[in-house]
Amino acid sequence: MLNRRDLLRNGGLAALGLILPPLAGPNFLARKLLAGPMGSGTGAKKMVFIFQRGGNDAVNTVIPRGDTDYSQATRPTLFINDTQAIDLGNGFAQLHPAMSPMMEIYNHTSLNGITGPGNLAILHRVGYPQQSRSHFSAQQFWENGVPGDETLEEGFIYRRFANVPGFADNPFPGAFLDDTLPISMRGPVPMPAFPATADYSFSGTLAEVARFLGVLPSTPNGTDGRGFYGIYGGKPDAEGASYRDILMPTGVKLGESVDTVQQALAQGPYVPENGAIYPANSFGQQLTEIAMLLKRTPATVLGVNIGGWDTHTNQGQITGGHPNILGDLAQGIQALSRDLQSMWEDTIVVTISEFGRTSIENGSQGTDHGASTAMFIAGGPVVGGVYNCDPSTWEAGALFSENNRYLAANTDFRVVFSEIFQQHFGDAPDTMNQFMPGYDIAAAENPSLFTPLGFLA
Amino acid sequence: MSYQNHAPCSFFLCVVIFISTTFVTAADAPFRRGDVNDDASIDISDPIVVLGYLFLGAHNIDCLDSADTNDDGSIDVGDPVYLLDYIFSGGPMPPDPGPMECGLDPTLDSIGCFHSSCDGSADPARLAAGHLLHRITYGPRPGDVDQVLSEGIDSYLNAQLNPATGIEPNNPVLAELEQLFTAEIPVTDETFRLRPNAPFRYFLGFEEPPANWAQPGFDDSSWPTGTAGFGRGDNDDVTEFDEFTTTDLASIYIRTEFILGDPAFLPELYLKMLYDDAFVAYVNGVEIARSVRSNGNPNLVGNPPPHNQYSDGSHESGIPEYYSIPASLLQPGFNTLAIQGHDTPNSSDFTLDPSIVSQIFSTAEPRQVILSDGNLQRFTFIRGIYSQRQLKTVLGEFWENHFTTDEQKLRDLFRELRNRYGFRILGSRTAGRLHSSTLEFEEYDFFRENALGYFGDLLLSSAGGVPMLIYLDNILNFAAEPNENYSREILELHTLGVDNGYTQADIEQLARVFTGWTFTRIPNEMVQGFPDYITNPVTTDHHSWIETPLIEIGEEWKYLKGTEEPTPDALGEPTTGWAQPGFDDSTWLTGPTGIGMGDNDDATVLDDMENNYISFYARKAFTVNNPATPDRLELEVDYDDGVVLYLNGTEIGRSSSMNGRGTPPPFTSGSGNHEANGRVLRIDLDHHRSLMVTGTNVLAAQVHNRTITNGDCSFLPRVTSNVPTSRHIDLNNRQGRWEFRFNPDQHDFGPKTIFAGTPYQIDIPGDRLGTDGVLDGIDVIDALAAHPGTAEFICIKLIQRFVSDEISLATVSDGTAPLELQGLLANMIASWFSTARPGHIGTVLETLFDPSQQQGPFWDLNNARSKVKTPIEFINSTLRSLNANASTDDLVNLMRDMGMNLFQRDEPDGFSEIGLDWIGTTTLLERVNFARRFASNVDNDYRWTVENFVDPALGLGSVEVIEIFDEVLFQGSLTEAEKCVVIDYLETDLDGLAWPLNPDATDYLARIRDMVGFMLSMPRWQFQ
Repeated sequence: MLNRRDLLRNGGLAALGLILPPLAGPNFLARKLLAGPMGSGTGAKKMVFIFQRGGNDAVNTVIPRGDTDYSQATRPTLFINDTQAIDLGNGFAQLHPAMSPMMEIYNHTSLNGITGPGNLAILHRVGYPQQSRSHFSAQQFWENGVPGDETLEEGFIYRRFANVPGFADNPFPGAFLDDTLPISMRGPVPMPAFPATADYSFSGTLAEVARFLGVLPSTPNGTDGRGFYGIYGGKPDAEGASYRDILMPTGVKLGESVDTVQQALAQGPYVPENGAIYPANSFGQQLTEIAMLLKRTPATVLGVNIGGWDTHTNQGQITGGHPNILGDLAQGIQALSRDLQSMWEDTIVVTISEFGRTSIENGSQGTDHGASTAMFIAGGPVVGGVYNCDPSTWEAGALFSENNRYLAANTDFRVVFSEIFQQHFGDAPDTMNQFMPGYDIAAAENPSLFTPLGFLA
Repeated sequence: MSYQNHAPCSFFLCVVIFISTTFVTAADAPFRRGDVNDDASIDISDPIVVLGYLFLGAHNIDCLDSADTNDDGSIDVGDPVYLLDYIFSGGPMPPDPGPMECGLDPTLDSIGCFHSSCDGSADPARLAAGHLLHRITYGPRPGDVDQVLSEGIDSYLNAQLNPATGIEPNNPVLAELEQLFTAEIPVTDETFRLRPNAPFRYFLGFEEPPANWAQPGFDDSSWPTGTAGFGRGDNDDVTEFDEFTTTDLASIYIRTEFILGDPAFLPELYLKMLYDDAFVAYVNGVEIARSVRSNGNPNLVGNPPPHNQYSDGSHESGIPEYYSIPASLLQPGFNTLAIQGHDTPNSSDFTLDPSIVSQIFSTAEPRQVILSDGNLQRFTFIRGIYSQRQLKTVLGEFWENHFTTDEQKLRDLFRELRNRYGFRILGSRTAGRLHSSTLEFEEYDFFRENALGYFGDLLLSSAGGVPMLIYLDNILNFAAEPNENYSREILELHTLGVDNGYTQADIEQLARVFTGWTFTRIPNEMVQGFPDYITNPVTTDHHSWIETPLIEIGEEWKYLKGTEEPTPDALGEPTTGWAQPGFDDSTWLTGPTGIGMGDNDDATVLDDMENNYISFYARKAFTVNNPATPDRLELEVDYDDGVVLYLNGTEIGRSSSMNGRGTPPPFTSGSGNHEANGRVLRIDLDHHRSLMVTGTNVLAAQVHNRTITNGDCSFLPRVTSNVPTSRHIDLNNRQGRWEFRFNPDQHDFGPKTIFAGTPYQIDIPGDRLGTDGVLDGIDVIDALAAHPGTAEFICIKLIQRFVSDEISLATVSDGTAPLELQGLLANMIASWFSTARPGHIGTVLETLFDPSQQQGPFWDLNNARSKVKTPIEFINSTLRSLNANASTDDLVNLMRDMGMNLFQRDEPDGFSEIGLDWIGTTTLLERVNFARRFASNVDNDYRWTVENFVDPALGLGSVEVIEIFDEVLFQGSLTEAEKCVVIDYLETDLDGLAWPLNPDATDYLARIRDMVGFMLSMPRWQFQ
């Protein structure tokens, strides 16, 4: 492809006599949409990720019943007794009772009639070496995929999906359901972020919006574009100035993604399938929209936040703040598993949280920032079961195995995603170090943390 | 693709070629002919570049027109030859434009100019002034650039760095808006004559009550009794009536008696009303007050209004209203207060919550309060847009964000606060918000007023401020149970920065330092200024009474074991006969309290109770000389497990463990669980004076165990009269302040070491006592303000805010931050320590803004428009740019939608100063939609007058109009390419057809507004 300078050398734009298409005719968007059908259809592998921001108390979520340190003594108000919790069947681990909706995925697939161990993997003790107890650093590490790097603002999820051919030209490769794009999905080619699809539109009539948006220049950074596309796809206002390389493509992506989302909405009201009932709050609404977007757009990666996990005070045992959001999370994953049955074999739903919490309860009926945490992974290809919470992986004193306060990690989150990327998406092993720089060195230095758990067949 | 020649579109020539419905605009930049390497001079290096380009492929030329030195429409060997001839042989000058002046190619040829330093260049002085205004203010207003240039940058900077405090003179708009979003509470000495949550008789208005219902002589004994407030919804009522929402009930009638000494000696009395939606109040049968709408008209009509009348207009409970009670209506002894309250149709909430107070008005300035979180947030707009003290306003927001706290967390806490008798004091949404918003405002206002002062003051004010004490849980930080939330964040977020020279052990030590730092409520007389309220702290709780026991624990009571119903009726059902004054208790046993068994806390031990009976009954006769005195009678009962209390045979209260056990409960009834542990049941006997008689009165109780087999039971009653000390403040009193309290009882007085083994080790001695324990925290704050890590972190944040976000603690640590920023940082840190007391922000900023450093990072114009505006900066700069008037109602929602919910951020890190965090599709969409709506004047909350910029009478065309707004918004720095897209937008209709701007057409100004909306949507307006 000719670049701008080549054009100039050959006599400038004027010599080429570039002609713009009429505004009302086949426009840029139509061209983009021809690149791929709406809806990625069967076969395209997808991932939904849910970030539990604040640091989930993994010990009261996936309860190590077989560890006598989990007791009334260490957790005077938070301790959940044997009869209250849900048994996970391995003679060691139990689940917080508020998460009972997920047991439908864990046990059997009563939904699709296939018997078996179910397809919910419950991973305990996930972390990374030298875990940070700062929310901001820890979230950054979990998102940029390079623990210890405080400056990298590019996400490992971005890098994985940006590596897919056609990513840059895909008007809607994926999205995050929030006001802002999290670091995990940030990179040189912007991805869309919006809290709700309904408000994701430009003000004005269709004709006014079409005039406002205009057309892209005929060449990247060219000066022959028109309107919003012309200015955001055109020549920067200042050569080499800060953030133009991010902001301007963001403007172009804004126009394209609004168009994709509005076309998806135009297909009619979305009705969840198979009796899926999402939580009746904004988190549930966002999961509903994720399901809708997975079915009606080319998106293959969608993410959302769920907040409230920083439970320093009045955490709640089987009722209260923490149980409520555990319930929302479980109901949300259950609803996705029902709603997405038509693409369940191609789908992975994964939860992350920046750290677990102190194994001992604090003086305010809560817990403080800790070390390793738990992940839930659901999806058709998932080999259900409990990982890292059984007599063979859980040593005596594990709850206080780090700094005498925290539960140390057994598995690095990067190997969890490496398994998803390689087994589910078919990525080559040598791309892991590209998606998560420093992966190979970290794996060599911490072989036990980087042993795959085998939760994908 | 078909080729079609066209001329380059330059803004001034702007040749537009029509090809059916399509036309073309493509911009060439202005340039200097012959200045091929674009260094603003013509010398030997220029022909060398051309030769390299032609023969070696060694050079790119961004502006080919500049290399067409002889302007013959092609670039060939003739061009360097022509230039060499000019340089060395006195040959002819290159044709226009050039060689020193920038300009466009006047010749129509096929050669273009893509980039040149001429493009977008404007008067450097104007650009510099604009740059300064974009950084230290919320953006220039029309005329500001001229103002700075005429005043001089040094002088302008100096004024901004040394702002006055208090009200701004000559700024009536700001003064008026501040007043609009503030309410005033007069300073009075307020004493309750009828406390909140009194018992009333009530009557639901399904029918008209008897005509004399408000009269003192009316017999209300058939009306049920309930505790005020009465209502439904909003979580602020004690006695709730679903009938207000489930039926067409419009009204409720309530009555009670209150007792006075000689009214001639009383200060004036007021009815203090919390209500939703309307009421009429009567004292001794005479109407004294009727609610009115905001227009002054009553919202109830008729004397009295009929029972089925709905209120005309709604009113929210939360801020009490005061209605004077004429002294002529009052009489010594008992007086009757009667109120009818009315709802609005289909309303979900209703409240009627009266009390009576005396007030002595002070001449002190009224207290300013902020009624809502919306009003709180509006201050960042009205000050940001209108204040002339821009730098300190920008910094006020900066510090508020640095020491961020969450108004909603405060509100939730205040809404749950309960008074001594267990009733919510600020239960309604409105009341809770008033306190949280006012406290947040005071925090923000301090940061703004002291924005250019000492960092240590800001840190101390934050640490001892009620918002931070609540927000980071320091009120839960106790000697026995330290809470690390605040100690972690003061290091990580407020001073040193993450992992910048501290350890987990430091966090744990620091948590101990701040144990006992909490808050309380203080009366007006105890209010102190900063920093005295922290350095000379209040140490006591708000409750401070000197009590005189009337009935003490250990006194003898009559009691009866509950082996049978003491006074059953004919059907064997329980009655209160045994609790009546005339009941003969001579056969009952006698013993001192506590009465009960187990736990070794009883003087009279019922050793046969376990397995035999579940309850017992007790009576105590006492003498009252005058039911009106003494003041503040209180019954206090510790109990195990349940108790129901009677005064002269009428129930006056029960433990919640006896709820639902019957009225009165039968002797066989079990209770819910409760241990006698000091969490006593308190009953305000002032509310029950109408039950008292001169002479002998009887207090009676039935006490129930949890189960008949339970091994402990207790009854420990006492009655006191009380006199408040000057420290005391009633939580229901609107006077007073929430203020810092150092509680020595919760402070860990042991020695502490922070930053052990570093040059900055802080040793806190272990021999401090009492109030001196507060010095632990003050010492640490002083030390932190003088810690080089703090200087480094705060200066980095200031650079991020004012200069460039290409620096962070991490890039400074690993040396990858830009060198010029590292140099600036070093100079600022030196300034931090240049004052006798380190950390004077004004001094540090003088270094940052130093106008003598024109090549330094702040003044280098290559850094102009390099910082992405945050939402508040985007909104304020947009409104300021066009001199909009902003009443700012919708701006709060707008800012939230843009992702910046100031004062309500959940996370303690504050909103980001990093541009990347504000670039996203939704962020941009919100900005674009706002900018276009604003420019088109479709929102009444923010309007501007286009005629102030474009006089329609002058008949200006597109080019002139664009030039005007290029100057207003960008100091004339739009590039040719940008101008061409703007003019194309302006001159294209909805069908994509050419549409010349016609000054005589009625849509002339509307189209200009639309174009301004487009300009405000451009990438460059996202930057400051």
